[in-house]
Amino acid sequence: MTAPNVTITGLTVTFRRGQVRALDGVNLRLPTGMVGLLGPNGAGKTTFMRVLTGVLQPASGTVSVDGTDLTSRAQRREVKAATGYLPQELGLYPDLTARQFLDYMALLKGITDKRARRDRVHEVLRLVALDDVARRKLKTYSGGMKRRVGIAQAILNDPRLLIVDEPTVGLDPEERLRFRSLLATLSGDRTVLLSTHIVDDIVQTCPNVVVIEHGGIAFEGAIGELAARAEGMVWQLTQPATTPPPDLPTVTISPGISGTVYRVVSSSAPTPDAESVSATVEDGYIALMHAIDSTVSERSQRTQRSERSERSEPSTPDVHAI
Amino acid sequence: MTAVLERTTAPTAAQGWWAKTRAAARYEYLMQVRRPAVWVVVIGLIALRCAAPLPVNIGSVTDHAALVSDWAGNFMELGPIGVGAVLADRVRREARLELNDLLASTPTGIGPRLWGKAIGAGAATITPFALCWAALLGYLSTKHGAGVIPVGIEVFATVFLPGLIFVTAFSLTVPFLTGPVLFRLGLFGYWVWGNMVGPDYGIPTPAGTPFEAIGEYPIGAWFHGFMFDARERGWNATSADAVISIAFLLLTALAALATAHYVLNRRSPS
Repeated sequence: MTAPNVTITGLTVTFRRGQVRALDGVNLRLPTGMVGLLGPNGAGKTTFMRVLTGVLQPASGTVSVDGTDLTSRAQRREVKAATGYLPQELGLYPDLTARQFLDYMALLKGITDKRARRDRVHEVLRLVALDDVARRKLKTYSGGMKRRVGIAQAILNDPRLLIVDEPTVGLDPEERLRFRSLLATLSGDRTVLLSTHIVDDIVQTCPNVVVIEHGGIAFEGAIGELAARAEGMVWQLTQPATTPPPDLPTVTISPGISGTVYRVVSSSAPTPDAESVSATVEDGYIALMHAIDSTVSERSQRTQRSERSERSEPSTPDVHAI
Repeated sequence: MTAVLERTTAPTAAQGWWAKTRAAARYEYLMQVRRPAVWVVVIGLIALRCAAPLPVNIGSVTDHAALVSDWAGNFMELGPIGVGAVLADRVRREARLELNDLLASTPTGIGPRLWGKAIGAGAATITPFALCWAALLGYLSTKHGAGVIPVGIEVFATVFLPGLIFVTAFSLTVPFLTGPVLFRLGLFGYWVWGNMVGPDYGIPTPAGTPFEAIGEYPIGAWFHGFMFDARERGWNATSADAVISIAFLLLTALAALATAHYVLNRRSPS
């Protein structure tokens, strides 16, 4: 098995009859291995993943997996047979046991041979360490166990493209670490697209990262490149009673020995006593988001100014000539 | 990767429509039959009606066919309302459980899931109905002899099943539009108006015609049972009428499910 070649061209998704553009002309070639997908709430991450899994149809643009476009129903089904998906809102049938649920999902994924299906269900249950509780009903499972059932169903068909949306939300630290390692183990010779808000999850597992903001690709590249964007721009304010200017993005606020410690992103030293520190991926992400927000805000101000000046200009007589 | 997962033959999108439908039916059956509401509502409504059975002289009927079919009439008065009521919330269950994305991401389209749900959830809801019937037949056989049992099986197939399939099909399609609560109210209204409010009330109704769902025509034509509304109309049931009645119910049920399949398939990208 080789990782699939996933190419996205001019992908646009709209809601409310075109009034809301969730994705706006996205072009991307998905790298192989584990790929982190970052972005703030409402940036379009889940919409992007739903299109990749064939659950949502775009308004325009194409998604191609190994040359198969997700345009027709038959082609979408072909791609789905090689894709695994763990959605953000993971629902399970509460009255089925884990084994029954996975058996059902395996059938829906096209594993119709009874013996092969039984072996595969047993194997994925063992992989997610649920084989000893496989006969318990899903309604008795904890949040972490349900997430593991979710990943188990996603890998039932041995997918070449595995898409996981916010898999570690609500998990305790130990369960989160276990889940992270599981995903890293699974990446191997497939592409795993991991969407999360938790930058640390991506730092620990993904060599490549894609940042989505305002329905477009804000960054794509190696994880180190994202950190490098903030190099020379990260400052630590350690002096007591020194607070950063309110318009600067603050990455962390933590208690220190001599008072509160602020970590801020700024192109120049925000205060005379600010200490320059080396940038992390989180700093790079915050710097990127701040740069985008500034650009959007500037553009919006420029538009408002130009609208105001247009309104204040005297109307030319020939416009209203009868 | 082979260290993580042993590879089996890769699944394909096209294979196994029937296997997937059977799987959906099997699991829908399991999930529905485990619901206490299914047992309480269906058995409760049957018991409510059978506490004071009609016709009033049912205790003195000795002919096996007439006796069994008279009891069938009592089962069919309220029982199907219970069947429809507990099926109505199955329709939007996947959305409520936030399973839609997960199911839509599989290469299986809407068809096997819809037909599987109709077969599985329908069969599960009919199970308490069938068990009540079996219990009654057991009781009647101790009083009137084992001859009631084969008649009871024939009655089940010709009187109960067409009406229950009809109710099942509409309970798994109409709530897509109305939601379960409104559907239940509508079902109750339809069942009373369309099957029990006879022509003597002076309002147009299918009650007493072969297009009712309560099974009077098979009862009258094949088992010499008591016909209420058809008798008011002055109609005598023939075998042809009974066949028309059954065919109407089954074909309408099929049409309802096929329409739902078509509409959902058009809406769904999967």
